[in-house]
Amino acid sequence: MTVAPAATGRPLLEVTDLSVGFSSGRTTTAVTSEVSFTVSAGQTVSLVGESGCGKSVTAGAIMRLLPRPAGTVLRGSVKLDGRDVLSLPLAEMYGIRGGEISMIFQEPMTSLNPVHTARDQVVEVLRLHRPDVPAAGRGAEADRLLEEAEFPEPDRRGRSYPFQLSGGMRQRVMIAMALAGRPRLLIADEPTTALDVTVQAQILRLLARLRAEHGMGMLYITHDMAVVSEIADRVVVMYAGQVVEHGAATEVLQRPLHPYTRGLLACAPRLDSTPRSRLRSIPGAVPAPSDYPAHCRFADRCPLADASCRAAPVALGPVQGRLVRCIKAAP
Amino acid sequence: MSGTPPVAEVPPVFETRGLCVDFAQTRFTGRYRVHALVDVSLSVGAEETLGIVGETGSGKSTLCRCLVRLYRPTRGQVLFQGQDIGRLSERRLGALRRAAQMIFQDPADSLNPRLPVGVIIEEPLVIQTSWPARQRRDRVADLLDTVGLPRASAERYPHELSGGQRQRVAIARALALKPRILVCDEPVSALDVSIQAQILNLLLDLQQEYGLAMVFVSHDLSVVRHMSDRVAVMKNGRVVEMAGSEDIYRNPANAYTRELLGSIPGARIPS
Repeated sequence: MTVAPAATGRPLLEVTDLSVGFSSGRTTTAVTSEVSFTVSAGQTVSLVGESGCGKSVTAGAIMRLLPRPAGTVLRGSVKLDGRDVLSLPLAEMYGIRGGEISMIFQEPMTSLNPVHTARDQVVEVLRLHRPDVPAAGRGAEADRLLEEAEFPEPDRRGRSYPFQLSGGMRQRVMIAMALAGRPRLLIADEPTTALDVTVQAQILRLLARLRAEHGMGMLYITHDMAVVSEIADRVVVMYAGQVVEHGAATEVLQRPLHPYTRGLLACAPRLDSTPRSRLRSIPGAVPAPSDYPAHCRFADRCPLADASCRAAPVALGPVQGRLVRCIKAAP
Repeated sequence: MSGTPPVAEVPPVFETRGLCVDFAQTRFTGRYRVHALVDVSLSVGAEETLGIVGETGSGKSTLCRCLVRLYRPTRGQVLFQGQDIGRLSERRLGALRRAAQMIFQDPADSLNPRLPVGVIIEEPLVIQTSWPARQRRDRVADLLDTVGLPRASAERYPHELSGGQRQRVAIARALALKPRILVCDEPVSALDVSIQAQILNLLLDLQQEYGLAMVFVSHDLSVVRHMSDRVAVMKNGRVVEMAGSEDIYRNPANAYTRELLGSIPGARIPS
């Protein structure tokens, strides 16, 4: 599945007005509303927000891996190179998952098969997605991919089972598996959250190198603004199922315009903050999807909110070259 | 130390001397010993916060558990207010159990799912005091106020609360017996960042209000630095560096400390 990128300048992935709902009994609740963004080849876009903001649901919808039958796409489209992914026959989708689009997850232990060795799991991806690799050559190709993911001594340690490997090593196996299908888009869902900080730094460098070498697009999901600053070209901040700020990563990090983005950046302690000083915190918690208000969803936690914020829904609009969902954001 | 004048100093709240903990492990390849703690000597003074930072398997949690005698050291001593807790009688141990309280990473695991919040917070009072029921109930209501939970949450079960609210319940339970020291083992690691800031602020406020000493353990250096007066960096069961929290980040002496500091993401975010 190695199609040359179309020379139209069209983005690799186009997500347009994507709304996902979950049903329980007869009621369906929208958990994300009108999420739109694009990922181009060679670009890293970060989806950032706290738990329950709709980041993983959005990734699940792109991969068509929403829990069934509860989760459904209510509206919107997902296009990979102009092809509508959501309406593809399932058989074709099997070819895309693990092939053109690969995904890595937070806890590799739960995504790896515990009864197969690291190397065999990479071989399996080659068998499913790489008809160009002859059966006899799969072992050698698996070793090469493990080596590319900086997995040490793949010919020897590749015979280990997942439980014998550290968290960082397991994530390298996942990355080798993701590379095996020669993906054009890599979706990474909090891949470093469970790792120690030194290993996190190694994995972030590895992903950045692989993205550059293979010209992959990357959709990187995280709750951590510091990680965003290390890896992302563009950032999509989500709150309560909506995009609240969307722009170039350096600009958003340097001058956040939405009060939620500002809060996220301010509430994490920094190495240059005054020890034992009070941290800026965001009062309250993310509302449940059934409690999303019709007006601004952040109003109840926002230091700037007044009656006008609670009068009507707030649209995502252009402010200083990016998109912001706030009527208080300076124009 | 012949040069120091003989002053009647208050002993530190906790002191460890040459603390070693070995665990026996059995694998297919045979039995062997894991040295979880190797010669750890440190102290925590009254109203002081000692931060402990290190990666997975560095011995942070083992150290916490030794302090409150959930583990017995293989060698070395833990002194609580100058007394070796390894030699305390059951009766004297009660004083340690009241004065040193622990807060764990995941309140979902450390709160009994079958008990309502009010009963969870009341339990230390039932076990350790002879207070009548009304006095205990009043104390529970006060504690809920202290940690910023509505009084009605006494009737709720842990699963009905969010992660941040559950950690507030764990803090209220830890405060019930008016302890002198809180041992916090990764208390905010399972929480979202905005909630993490709320809980860290709460701990700072409580410490000031009650004059608590604190052992604050985390894998997150920024969080440890923010909370602590002094920081101990651990690796493979040893303390590799210990210094004031400003110093250790400005002038790290140890190569491993420098590596940890260099790995922290977000250096490019303006303050």
